[in-house]
Amino acid sequence: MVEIRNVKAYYKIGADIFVRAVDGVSISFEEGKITGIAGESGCGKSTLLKVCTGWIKPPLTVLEGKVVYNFDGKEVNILSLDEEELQRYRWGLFAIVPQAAMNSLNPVRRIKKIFEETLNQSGKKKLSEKEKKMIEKVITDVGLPKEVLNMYPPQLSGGMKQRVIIALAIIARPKVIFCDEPTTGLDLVTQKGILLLLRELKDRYGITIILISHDMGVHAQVTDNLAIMYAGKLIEYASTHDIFKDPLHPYTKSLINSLPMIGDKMQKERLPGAPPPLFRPPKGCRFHPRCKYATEICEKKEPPLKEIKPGHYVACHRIGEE
Amino acid sequence: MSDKLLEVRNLTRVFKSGIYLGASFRAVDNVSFSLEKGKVLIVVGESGCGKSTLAKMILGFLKPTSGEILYKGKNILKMNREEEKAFRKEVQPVFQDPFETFNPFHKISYYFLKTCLKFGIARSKDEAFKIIDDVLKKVGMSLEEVNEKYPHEFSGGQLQRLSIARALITKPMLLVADEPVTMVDASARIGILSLFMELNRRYDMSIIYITHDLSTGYYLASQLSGEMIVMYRGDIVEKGPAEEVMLDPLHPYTKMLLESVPEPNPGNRWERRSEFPSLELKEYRAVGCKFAKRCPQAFSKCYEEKPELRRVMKDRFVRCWQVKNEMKMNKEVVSHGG
Repeated sequence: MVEIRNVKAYYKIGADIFVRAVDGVSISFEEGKITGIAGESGCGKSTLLKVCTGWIKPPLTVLEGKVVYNFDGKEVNILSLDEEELQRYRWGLFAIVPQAAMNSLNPVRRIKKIFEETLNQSGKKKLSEKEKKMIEKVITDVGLPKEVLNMYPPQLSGGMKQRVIIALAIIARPKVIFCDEPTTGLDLVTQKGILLLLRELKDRYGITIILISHDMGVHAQVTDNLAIMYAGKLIEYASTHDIFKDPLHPYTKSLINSLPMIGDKMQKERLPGAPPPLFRPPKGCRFHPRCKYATEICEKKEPPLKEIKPGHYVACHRIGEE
Repeated sequence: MSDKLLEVRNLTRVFKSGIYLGASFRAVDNVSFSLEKGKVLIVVGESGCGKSTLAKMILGFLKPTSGEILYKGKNILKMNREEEKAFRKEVQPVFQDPFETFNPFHKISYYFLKTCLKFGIARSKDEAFKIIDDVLKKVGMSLEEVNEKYPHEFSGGQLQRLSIARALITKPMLLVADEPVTMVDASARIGILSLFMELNRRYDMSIIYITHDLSTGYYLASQLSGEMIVMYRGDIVEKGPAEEVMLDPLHPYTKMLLESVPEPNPGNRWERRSEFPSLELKEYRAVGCKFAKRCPQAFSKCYEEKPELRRVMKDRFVRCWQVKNEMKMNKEVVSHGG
């Protein structure tokens, strides 16, 4: 559905200094599936989302690569489009649920008005009956009562606001939605509701969902495929089951083994060190300074992403050698 | 003298909102517990349950509306200057956001020096630096790494370590940690938690660990064994040995919370849809049980009369009418007075 080919997106922060937030990432998101992107803060996952949605504003620049959407038998590289053309595909082809979006709803607009403004950008035209029906439909789709439409955002709880945001995202029936940390800042019980809602939308409408989260528990619960990013690189990609059952990359391994679980009394090991600064990433494998298996080759050569097992990709020199 | 380090008695904090006096709610409602020296207390609950308000009151940052907090048997609001200084020294906070704890314009060492000198722990700069190096080693860092650096040169996990190191300068008896790992990346979380464990084991430090994240709470509890308090809308709804509460929850709310923890195991996924909660002032002021509206087991009595926090087993306390019914056969149903 969406294919990212060798994208390099850097932030320019000085004359010759670049923050290499996304550095040579290639991945394709399967149609009608939830693909998770996991990684620590500063690993480039939010930048990847910006690139995927053509949301490129200085200092972010895309040096190389393509983002290709396959739909209706067409192939569109959205990085080659200008702003006007891009606008045509927003909402209809892809929509975004940005991070902390629920706090960006205009507090002095009724929810109904917010929907109207989204449907016709000028907000002045009267809505047709069909459009009104559409709004009611999406509101019930996300599990909210219709009365919400006549309320103001401050009257809603965090979870309800997030549902409104998701309803806005799906109003034009997009094929893909990108969700950036959709449940961060929400309570546990609310989080569960939102995540189950995403799963339901996928099942009911076949929407392709890309879910960015730092919380591995969230990925385990809802995603079908999972991509692990580290310091601007994609280091492992497989089905969620495989990633949790058989993590191959040493970073993924330590990430999964360090998760506290209720009922599990084992003492966990911590990963030493911290992720490298992205404007001066280490040579070779970016994980090598923290990796206990690192050898000479890891310091010199960057490991390519290889398919080790069908559908399981890893970027590590150790894997696949023996 | 008893070995109670901290005792909280009938602590209540009322916040008033709006012009009308009627618009007030109890953020912390008649909360009582005690903490022995060297023990760990885990406080869990969702946002708005009053756990941070509780932390602020224990630290002396916020005055309670009623009730009292006794530190080593003395009311913290009625201390003389000497006693207050000792209290400030011995009870140290660790906050949620390490990026906000440090002013970006000051070097990290500035905070450490200031803490050293303010509490009269070191008489000279040289002496202070020795102490600082010492505490930094305890958190797995060193003075050379830190000395000339500014906060932005560290990651969130490192900053949180630094903020714990700063708290250790005064050799505290009690750490009050309000969501200390929430802002920290997953791979650094275990490091911070292990640090707490070590501090407790090696220096017999008491820790109050406040969190909404039950899995880190469980991890700490399983390694150290301590008490757990589950809060809902200002009330303690369940209290008991942390591991028991987590593995065998009694209150419907604790059960609901535990079911909502996203287990990092794709083989065991959620099935049912859950109801989404509403944060309503009504719940704080409800006549009956505050949880009744969301409770799958609520019956008429729940809406009319507020249940007390009662002992239902040896050291388990629950605030629920239903649990009593389930436990009828248990002869140990004794009312818990304050």
